[in-house]
Amino acid sequence: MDWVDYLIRSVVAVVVFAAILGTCTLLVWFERRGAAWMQVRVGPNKAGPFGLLQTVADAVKLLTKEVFVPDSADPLVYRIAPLLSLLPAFLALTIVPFGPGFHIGDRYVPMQIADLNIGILWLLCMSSIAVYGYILAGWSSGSKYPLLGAVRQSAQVISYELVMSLAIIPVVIWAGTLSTSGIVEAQSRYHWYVVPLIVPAIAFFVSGIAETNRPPFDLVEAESELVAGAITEYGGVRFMMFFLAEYTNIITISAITTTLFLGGWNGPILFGTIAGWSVVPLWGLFWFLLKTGVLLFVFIWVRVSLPRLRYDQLMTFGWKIMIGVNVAVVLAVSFVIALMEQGALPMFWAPPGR
Amino acid sequence: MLIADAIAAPPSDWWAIAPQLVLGGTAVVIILMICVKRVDPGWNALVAAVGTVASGVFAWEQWRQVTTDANPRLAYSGMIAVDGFSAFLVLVVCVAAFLGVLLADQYFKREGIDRGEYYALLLFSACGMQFMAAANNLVMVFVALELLSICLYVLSAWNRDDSRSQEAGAKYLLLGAYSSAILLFGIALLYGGTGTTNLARMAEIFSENVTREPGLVLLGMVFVIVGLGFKIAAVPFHMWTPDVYQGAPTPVVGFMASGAKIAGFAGLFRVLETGLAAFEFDWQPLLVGLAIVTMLGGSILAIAQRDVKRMLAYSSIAHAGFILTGLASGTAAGVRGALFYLVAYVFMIAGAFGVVALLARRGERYTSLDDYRDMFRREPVLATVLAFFLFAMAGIPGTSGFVAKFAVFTGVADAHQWVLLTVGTVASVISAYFYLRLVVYMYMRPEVDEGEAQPAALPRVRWAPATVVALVLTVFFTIQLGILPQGLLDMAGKATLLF
Amino acid sequence: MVGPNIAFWIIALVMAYAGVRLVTTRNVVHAALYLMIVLAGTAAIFLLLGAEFLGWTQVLVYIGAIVVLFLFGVMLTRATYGESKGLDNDQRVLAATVAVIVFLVFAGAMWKAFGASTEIVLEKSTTVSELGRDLMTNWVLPFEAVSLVLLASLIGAITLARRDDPEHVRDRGVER
Repeated sequence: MDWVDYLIRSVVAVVVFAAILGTCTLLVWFERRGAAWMQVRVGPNKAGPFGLLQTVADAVKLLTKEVFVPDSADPLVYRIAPLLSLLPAFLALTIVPFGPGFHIGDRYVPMQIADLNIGILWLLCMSSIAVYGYILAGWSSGSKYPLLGAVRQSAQVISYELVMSLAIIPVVIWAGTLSTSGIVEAQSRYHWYVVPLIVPAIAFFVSGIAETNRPPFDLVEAESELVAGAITEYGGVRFMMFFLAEYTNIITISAITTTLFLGGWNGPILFGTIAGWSVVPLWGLFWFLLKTGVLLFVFIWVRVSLPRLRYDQLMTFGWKIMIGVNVAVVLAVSFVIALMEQGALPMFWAPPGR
Repeated sequence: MLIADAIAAPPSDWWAIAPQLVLGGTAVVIILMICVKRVDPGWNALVAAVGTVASGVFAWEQWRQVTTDANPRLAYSGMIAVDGFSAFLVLVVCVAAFLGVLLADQYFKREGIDRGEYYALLLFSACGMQFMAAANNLVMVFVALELLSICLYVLSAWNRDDSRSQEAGAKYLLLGAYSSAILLFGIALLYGGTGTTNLARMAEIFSENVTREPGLVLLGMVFVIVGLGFKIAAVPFHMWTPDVYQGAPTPVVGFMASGAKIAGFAGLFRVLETGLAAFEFDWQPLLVGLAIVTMLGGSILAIAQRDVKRMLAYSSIAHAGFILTGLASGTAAGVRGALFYLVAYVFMIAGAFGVVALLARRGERYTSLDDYRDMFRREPVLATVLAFFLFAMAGIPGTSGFVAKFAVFTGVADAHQWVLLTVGTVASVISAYFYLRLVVYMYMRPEVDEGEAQPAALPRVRWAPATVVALVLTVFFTIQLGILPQGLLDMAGKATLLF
Repeated sequence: MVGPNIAFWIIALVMAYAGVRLVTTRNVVHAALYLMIVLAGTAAIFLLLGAEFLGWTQVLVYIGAIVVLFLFGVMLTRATYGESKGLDNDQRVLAATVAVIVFLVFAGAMWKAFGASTEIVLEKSTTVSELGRDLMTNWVLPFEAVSLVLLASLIGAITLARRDDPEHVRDRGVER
């Protein structure tokens, strides 16, 4: 690694960062416009074509608002909390392979900011740290609704963190690696893991919705109960950071689901492997973005369609159903793989990538 | 590459962990029973009792194998040792767990807190004790210690609506966690000094004399002794004992006092005799000092107690001192005596706490010395049984307590440690005072002083079959070991031969 | 190897400061946050030594779960703002003395043992698969025993915390 490599990586990082900010803006717009479309109303339509610039206008408004700290707040923690929320959200995205790496001359350009060989662990770390933003925001605000939101948040995230980890384990067992690019490559030759691992795939996505506090799991900021939950007392640019973090998390969850279960940047077999297309980097990026986009749409679709759960339903669902089912799946998958490796089972679906 | 090729697993030595497997398995079965259908916890107790007996059978088979075929060995990459010492103590743990199960049912029904999970936790704890008895690796020592302690923390707080039990649980948890941390420090230092946690390997390293860091090893040794000293309640690490023993449900105390001590001594002995044998001249004075203050401290402080459970707690501290004396003597005879003492102690303490549990009545109201006045008239049988156990603990000839003390002191005399011997004798005499005082209260003190109103008579204590079995067993063995100790002494002698 | 040494000292100083503040601060939540910093420092040192898996697991388990549970517990029970009374007791001096003595003894022993080597020696770092293989072969027994520990603590926590079924509750005539 000389300085050119570092430069390449920095450029990739900047591009990804900018792309995420852009996607967030689009996502917020679509959340409003798309929801309006599904609910047969108009939605934002004044700023720019189709109201596309509405989010930009909102961002400008939030950025120019007064930055304040409530009297009853714990000043330092109150200030740190939004950062703690935003930082892990971005860091988690660093391990997502957006497309196959390619060469310019003899320089390798990865379409991934950091290809850690313990990528999955990194992802779990970041999603578990992300909870601090909300908890500390809730506590430091010095007000009761935020506090209740924070308590709900910590319980919810810890519960669904378990589900998420359990849903990842079958993938790791099957692929034989903790590296995200390795997992994508393991899927490139055969089926996507969503085929044999449909249950963990759903579980992962659902727990992702719960981790990002999106409806129907948005008890943390249930408007009718808690005003805005942990971020009730926040305004201006700090509020925007929470907002940004939430949408970045949505993108992260969609991108990771794509990576782990939907074959990442691999196209469907007909288009990809056989035609030899997948070597073209932008073609891979196209498939990645398409799949991620579909999942983002599902996020919003779910939000518009489903009513909010009750808190006890949330916990029962997480602990009694999701964890139980996923533990069973982990056992079953280990068993199947062991049998396949012993030759007792045909290597149907996909052989373990070891 | 196939997993099967990649992983050359060490051969599974099922015999080596059979007792532990049976106990852990039984605990899981009990949990599953509860999951399927909540039946009367008596059934859980029955399963638990069967499990302990089965585990004991396996332990006995292990014992037979290692003594007759002379086949002591290390198993699971040196994690555990299967030798006379481990098989012997595993067997003793089975006995303690069996008594703990038998004494529990009636008590918890009376208190209205009979939940089947009790037996599962008790068995898990016993499983941890057995792992401790066999552990040959410091990591294993720590994991086993955690397994047994965490269960005991919960069991101490089992009567969760009683603030005394809550207090006991919380105190035990906090101080226990603290002592675990100290032990872990010690383990880390020993690892830092030797580069291994395997005790047998550690001994090899010392014998090759390649260790660079005797300072780290010595420091680690001290921390390990302190950490395990907490578990065996040696003075000055005994502070938690009276409070926990007083507050925790009495059958739990019976099990805790016997089982945790067995495990603590097993760990201490294995670490010092196997891993740190080369440092004998360093740890022996420490143990001598500990033994002296423990014997004296336990005996003297017990005199001041007006609560019988508390008094028995201090008495158990004193017993720990006597057992430590055997280890501290550094002779085979002393260690043999200590092992014999452990067995005798298990029967005595389980029996004594069993009787106390019955006499305390519902809610454990009657545990003060004054409540025991004239107990002989009210509960002649129980009073006599308790008096018998007290005599045994005091070391009256004809009971196991006497033989145990005699065996330990023989070892001390062999080592010419006259100070230890003198202190031990003095402590025995002192402890006899408070044991006999309780007997005096039960037999010779009127229930109320003259001029006071006679309290309403309580109904007679009822006996559940399981309790009767447990008390008969404890009395029988306390007598038997007092009159015909040779069999067990021989066993204990064989058990001193480590891997 | 100057870089790792400098990094180590920075981490160590931050950890030491956070550790001291952890016991001196009078705000429970702040204490938990300082604890988080200490634990993060530990993870950083693991990473510095090339123990990648261990370091991130440390983050995941301690920072991501344990301190969060601390905060959760604090907020459920007494989420006080500002300084809370009763976090101190009058044995501060004694405790500090003991701490200093223990530190000196430890530091002395360490210095005597390893003082000569001032460099961080990096051996080949262990990969996750090697670690897993070792856990499943040489360390399989403690590994399984740990799962028993977890099972037992789960059962214990649930039985202590759970409300009994109504038909299971009986009157408890406990008198003091």
